[in-house]
Amino acid sequence: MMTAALGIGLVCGILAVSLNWSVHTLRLFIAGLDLGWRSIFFPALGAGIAVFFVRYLMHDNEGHGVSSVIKAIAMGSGSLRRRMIYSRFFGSFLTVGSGGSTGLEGPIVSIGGAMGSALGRWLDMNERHKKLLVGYGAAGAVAGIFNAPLTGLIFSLEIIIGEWTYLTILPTIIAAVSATEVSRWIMGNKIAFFQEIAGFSITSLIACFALGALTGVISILFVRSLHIWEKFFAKISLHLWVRAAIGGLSVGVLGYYMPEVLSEGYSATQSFLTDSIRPELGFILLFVLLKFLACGITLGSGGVGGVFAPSLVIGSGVGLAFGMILHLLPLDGVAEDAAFALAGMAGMVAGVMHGPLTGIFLVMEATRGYSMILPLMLTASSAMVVSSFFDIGSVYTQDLIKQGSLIKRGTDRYLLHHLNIRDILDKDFITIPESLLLRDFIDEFKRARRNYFPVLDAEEQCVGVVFLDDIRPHLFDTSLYDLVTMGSVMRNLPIINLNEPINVALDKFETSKAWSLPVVEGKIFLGMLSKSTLFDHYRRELQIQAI
Amino acid sequence: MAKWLIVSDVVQLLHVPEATIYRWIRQGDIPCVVRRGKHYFNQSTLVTWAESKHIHLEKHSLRESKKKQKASATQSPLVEAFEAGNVFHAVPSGSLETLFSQIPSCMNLPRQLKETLAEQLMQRELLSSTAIGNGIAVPHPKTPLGQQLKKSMVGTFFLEKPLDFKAPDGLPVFVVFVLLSADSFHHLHLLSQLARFLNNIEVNDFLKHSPTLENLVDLFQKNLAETA
Repeated sequence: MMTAALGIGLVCGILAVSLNWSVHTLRLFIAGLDLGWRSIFFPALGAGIAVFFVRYLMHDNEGHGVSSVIKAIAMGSGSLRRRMIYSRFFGSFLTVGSGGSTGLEGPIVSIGGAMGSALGRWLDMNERHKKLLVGYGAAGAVAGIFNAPLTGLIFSLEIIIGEWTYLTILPTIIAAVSATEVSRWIMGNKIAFFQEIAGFSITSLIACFALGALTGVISILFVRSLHIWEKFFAKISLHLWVRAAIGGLSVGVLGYYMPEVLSEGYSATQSFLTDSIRPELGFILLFVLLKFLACGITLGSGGVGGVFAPSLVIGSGVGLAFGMILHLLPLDGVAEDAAFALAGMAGMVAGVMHGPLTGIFLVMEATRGYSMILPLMLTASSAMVVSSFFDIGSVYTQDLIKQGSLIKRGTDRYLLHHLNIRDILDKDFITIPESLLLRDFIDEFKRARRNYFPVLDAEEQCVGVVFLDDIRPHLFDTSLYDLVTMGSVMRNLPIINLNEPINVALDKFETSKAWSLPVVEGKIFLGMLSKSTLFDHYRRELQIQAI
Repeated sequence: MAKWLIVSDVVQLLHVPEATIYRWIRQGDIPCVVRRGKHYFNQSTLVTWAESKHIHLEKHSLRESKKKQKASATQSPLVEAFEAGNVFHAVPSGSLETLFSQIPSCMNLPRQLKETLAEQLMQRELLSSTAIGNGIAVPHPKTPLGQQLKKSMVGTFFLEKPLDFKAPDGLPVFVVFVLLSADSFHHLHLLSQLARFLNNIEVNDFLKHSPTLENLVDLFQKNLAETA
């Protein structure tokens, strides 16, 4: 596993660097073309082609980057197809390169995950190891793109894998470090944002709480706005790539008025942190608002990208504005604005992605500054608290939770998810026709070994179940023998379909309170599923999967 | 006004033993407040909590738990069924079809049921005769009516002319008791009580005099008291 991690790390590092480089080259190229107002069409063009490529040519319908990786860890690495590597690479290259207001990190993570899955398949590994490789890939991706190995490790563990054992930590470190080494070797040891921050006073630390709460609220608004834009664009009944083009056009217009809003936006963050001449407060607020909108539109209309970079950029803007406002107040010992910009970045990452550690470590590594640790911790944790209060799950997990796909290893649903209903059916029973008289049933009952009898109609379909408990008081009442047909004393139970997810079957057990339910495949009656057999198998899985 | 529940209510709702509820309270797993040493649960908070845990609550118990306890059966269900079904005399009975089409129009049924009942009675009759001898028959639909009927009912129909029901003793039938059950559990119970009642010789003689609903109910209650 260690060598596999090493390999994945190297490859992801290279991929991260190449994606980054190609996007920047494209941006420079477009800027160099100097087309004036016609440049508003570029994002539309890029997004349209990207979506066309991803959806129609590559049939990649897996959804946004990081979510699909998290889902793969929960449900099975097979969902990360190898073609995702190409589709996400070119999709994000086109979207972000042309100006789409989103980040590369999400796509890179899904590329890394897909690479891990592909490597696992190639090496013929079992599912558990394949999933780990996906995690290593994700770590390598983030480490490579930010030149920050610790961040890659923390991101993968905090957000993707969610498990901290010897099998996960060590190889993930190897992947992250190798990716970073490759990235540095190719691009040089560049730091994303450099800032020397002076110490923080108590006043500033308290202000960090406030900033954290503020970014928490803004992250909630951000995530919700993403959903709103998605729903908005979903209502437009045109081809997917046309929707993306429309979104791109709107972004292009926004970008024409404020070019900093386009693409990843790191240049704006850079200037917030390092420029000695501060932009106007109004400009910053406008920037935050437009970036907020642009990102929502880009992603909502189908553009290929992630929310990691936009969170950082919006966070930096919010933090900077916050710092500037603080300075206007008659307070002592307020730290410099740039410091708050950095804290804001960590806060947004914590609030949007529910990854406070990732946010803290990213800013620390990116700025090579340990002095910021206290304010970062305060901001990130309060942002996370506020964000969790309003929304369950991060931007990545919300959709999965709604779908019911977020199943953590070691949980009840994970164990049951893998049980195959067909394997645990009871077939040892007697079926009886609807029209069977009680008199004739007595004979059947004599040779039965169970307490229930599925009832089939004329077309051999299961219409109900007769439970012995229901009819026992009357079994020896001869006056009823010719009066009672078994169809009239059966219970109408919900029927389980073989293809249903197991939690649906469990709900049916709960609402009907039955101990056994009939199982059909399509219309064919297969057998009865017994709650007690289910429990036996569940217990077995629990024993096997326990550490 | 917020509705407050106590531990026994929650026991009913969740179908768990009281000891479990108290353990959940200690573990902090269930939302509750303590006032003057007693535990209270806010109904809407509890509902939200159950939903978030995907726990199925007996929703109707929330509203009707008090009412249900009051409406305890002081009357036998068969008596209630008789009264709901009513007694009809001189019902046209040229043939099975005629009779079965008369029945739904006489009884107080939802419209959907009126349209399908004749067919259902006929289907059942064709499977096996519902005559129990001594001129009495107990036609009923093939499968329990389920949602279509709220309360079970037994309609008593005295026929204009005796009709051949292919009874085991060969005698033509002069009275039918149409049994409409809300579910299979009640069906069997009612059928069994009805059959026992009707097999009684005294009852049989009594029926030959075409009694009214009141007479019938009285007789049944007397019979019930005697056999108890």
